[in-house]
Amino acid sequence: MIKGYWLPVLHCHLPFVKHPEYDYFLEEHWLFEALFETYLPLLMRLKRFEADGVDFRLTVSLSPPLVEMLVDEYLMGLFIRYMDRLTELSQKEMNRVKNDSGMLNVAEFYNKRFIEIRTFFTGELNGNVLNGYKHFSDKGRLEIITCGATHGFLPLLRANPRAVEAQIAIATQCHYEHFGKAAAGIWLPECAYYEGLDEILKKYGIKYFFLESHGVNNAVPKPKFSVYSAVNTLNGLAVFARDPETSKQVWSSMSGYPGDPDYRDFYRDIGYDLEMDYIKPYVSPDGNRVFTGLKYYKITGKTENKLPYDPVAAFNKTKIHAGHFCSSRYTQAEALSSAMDRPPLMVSPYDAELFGHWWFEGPDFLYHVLLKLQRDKIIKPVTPSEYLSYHPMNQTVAPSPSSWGENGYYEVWLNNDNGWIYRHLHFMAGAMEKIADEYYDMPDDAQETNALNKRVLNQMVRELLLAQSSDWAFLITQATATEYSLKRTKEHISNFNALLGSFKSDTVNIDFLKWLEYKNSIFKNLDFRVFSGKNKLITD
Amino acid sequence: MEDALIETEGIEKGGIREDGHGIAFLVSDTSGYPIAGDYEIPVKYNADTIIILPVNEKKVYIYWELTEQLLIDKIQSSAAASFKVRIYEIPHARQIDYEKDYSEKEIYSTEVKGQYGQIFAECAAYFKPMTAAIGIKRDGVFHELLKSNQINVPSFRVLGLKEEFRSRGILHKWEQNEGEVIGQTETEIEVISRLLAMKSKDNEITGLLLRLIENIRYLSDEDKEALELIIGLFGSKDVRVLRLLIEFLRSLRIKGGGSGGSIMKLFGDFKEMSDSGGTISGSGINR
Repeated sequence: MIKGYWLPVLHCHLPFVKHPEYDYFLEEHWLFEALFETYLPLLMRLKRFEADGVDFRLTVSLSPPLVEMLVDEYLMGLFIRYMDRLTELSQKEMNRVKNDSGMLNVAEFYNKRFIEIRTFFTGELNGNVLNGYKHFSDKGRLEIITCGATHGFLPLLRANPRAVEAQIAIATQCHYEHFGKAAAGIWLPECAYYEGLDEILKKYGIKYFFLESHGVNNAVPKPKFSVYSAVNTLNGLAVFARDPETSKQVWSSMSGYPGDPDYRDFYRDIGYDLEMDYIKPYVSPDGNRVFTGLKYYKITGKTENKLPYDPVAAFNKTKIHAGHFCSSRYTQAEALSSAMDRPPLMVSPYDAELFGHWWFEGPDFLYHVLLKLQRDKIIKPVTPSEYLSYHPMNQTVAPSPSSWGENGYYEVWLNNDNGWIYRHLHFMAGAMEKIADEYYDMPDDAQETNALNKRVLNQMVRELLLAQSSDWAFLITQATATEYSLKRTKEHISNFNALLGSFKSDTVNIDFLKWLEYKNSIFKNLDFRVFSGKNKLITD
Repeated sequence: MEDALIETEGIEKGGIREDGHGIAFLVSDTSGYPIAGDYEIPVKYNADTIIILPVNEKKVYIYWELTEQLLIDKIQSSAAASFKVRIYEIPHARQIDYEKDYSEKEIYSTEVKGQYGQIFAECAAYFKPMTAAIGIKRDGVFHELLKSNQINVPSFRVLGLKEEFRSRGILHKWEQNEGEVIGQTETEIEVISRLLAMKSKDNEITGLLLRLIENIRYLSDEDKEALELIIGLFGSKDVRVLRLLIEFLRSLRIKGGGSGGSIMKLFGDFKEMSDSGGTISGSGINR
């Protein structure tokens, strides 16, 4: 007898970062680290399920910028170089620590792991990570959902409704192009919702989305089953909201599982620990130390005298934590079910990068949780579509404006430090809409002027979309990578205005345009008409 | 499983945040951006603008730009340097009843300097519908120069949705059955789902539709057929037809709407009247 459902969601997103103008660019490593430590190890665990004949259910949101980077030839070429460099370093490390059995054990572990990941990527996945996701999606075990086109913070873009629609229209188009099917669901960028957004989502075929707990708990009327059942919006979209308890067990910095003494210490990395002469070829060429991913110590405790990491002990600890997580769900479901007319649903959304990159053992934990749930058959892991097929009838509510940012609303993305951005984004969206209307009926022929005009207008949309990325405003607030975030925002605003000016004055610089097309190459098949009010897709 | 087993030491240094963001796990404090120089971006756009955005349940953000041309046109002077920004709450009632005069209520006012600027304003109005304006005060009178966009939409409570209302999402076909739900018949749920699915931006219509839902308790097959026709009409872009539809829905309300077969009859009357160029009883709306 099923006593409840568990709906795990991993949100996979990184902003579009591509700098072909540099041989080595630090921020490009965000993607490489996430691939190497999170996306690929997670897919490898899923392959293991398949090999063992274990059924599982998982939902992942793959944001369009991430998807576009994962199929970018230039970036994937760099990623192979990145893996090769790390494998080389792990081989050097086996030699360096050969007389220290504790360290040698870890170095050998890394070397074996790095080779396995590279083989999986170049062999099984044929150099395209999306192949792995598609494989499990086709099997019906993985539900892939989309996100905003460039993770734009929709409640703050709505001053120009076309900008919001473009984020959704391009996202759904991108999803279809890469996965061959329409996205049934969306992970709203930053889980940010405003009243009426569901109407736009519906236009583009989206059938469900996720909210932070208070987005549903503060809905009108108040949901009878809190976050433990889906609810429907006025436009008939289903909404799933986070179960705070499951989040806390994984996220909490003090009591969450990732803080266990047996787990790998994130901060003790040889990129910072070893002599510069030795490590220099593997860190930033300008001499800045960076994380290499080779970390020899476990958390140990509140001490600077860390003990060597033991991969086997850590793996075994994930089994214990998975057991605790599952038994907590059984107790939780039991307590909730008495007040419900259906088995309770527990929704657990996490940033995917938490698993593997930050919490090194996270993918193993997830593996053991899904394995145990499958064996115990008390709580059923489900995808959103599967849950809705069991329980299509849900209370109708109007969800509350909300986000998953600090304090639950929009202030992380709109404050004294980053408020200046929105004036530019709104102007750009307004100008884009106007010019898209004007040139909507321009023939798509090879005639030189038309072809050039179209390229300029398409690139203007790309620059606008890249400027809209919520990551920049977030990082400015967090005061991390601030300089990069400021420059990226200004770069796209500047590019857009330069293109607009040259377009209007008929003085387009072809070399500049070509460079932008190569560098800011997101959405190859984009058509500027997506910004036009005449666009059937948008207005109908 | 003993809880003691999961006692952890916690994560030192930066720790992780419950309101995390994937990028936060990857960003390094040592990140550098090697591109020298800065990008030039416009300071202003020479476009008359005032925009209001919600920040949280107690705060809004407003930015504006006033061109010299606007000042000359509106106040015959481009020299003004001091303005008033006002924020108004828009009464819910105005959203669903255009015929009565529900005036906006000023909930915030401040003096601002410059033809170009931004402010954060504390307005404890928990996502109530709001709009802002910028203007100038002369002889004690506020002269509005620009009005902003409107933020927030009225709470659904005012449209009369009851807690008991359930609906099917758009994911599933109507034929699917989940068994009886206390307080609502399957037919009612179907009707509610369909009407909600076609909810218009026009709050007047929405309000009427929801009142209609409340009145409908038992529907015959004929009623369902009528609803199909209503849905067809509703899809029309013809404003005249929509107006007639509103009147039709109003007449349903007047007649207490809902018992078996009554909708079909009323709808037939409605069609007949609209076809013959007549008026709906008491509505005063001519073709």
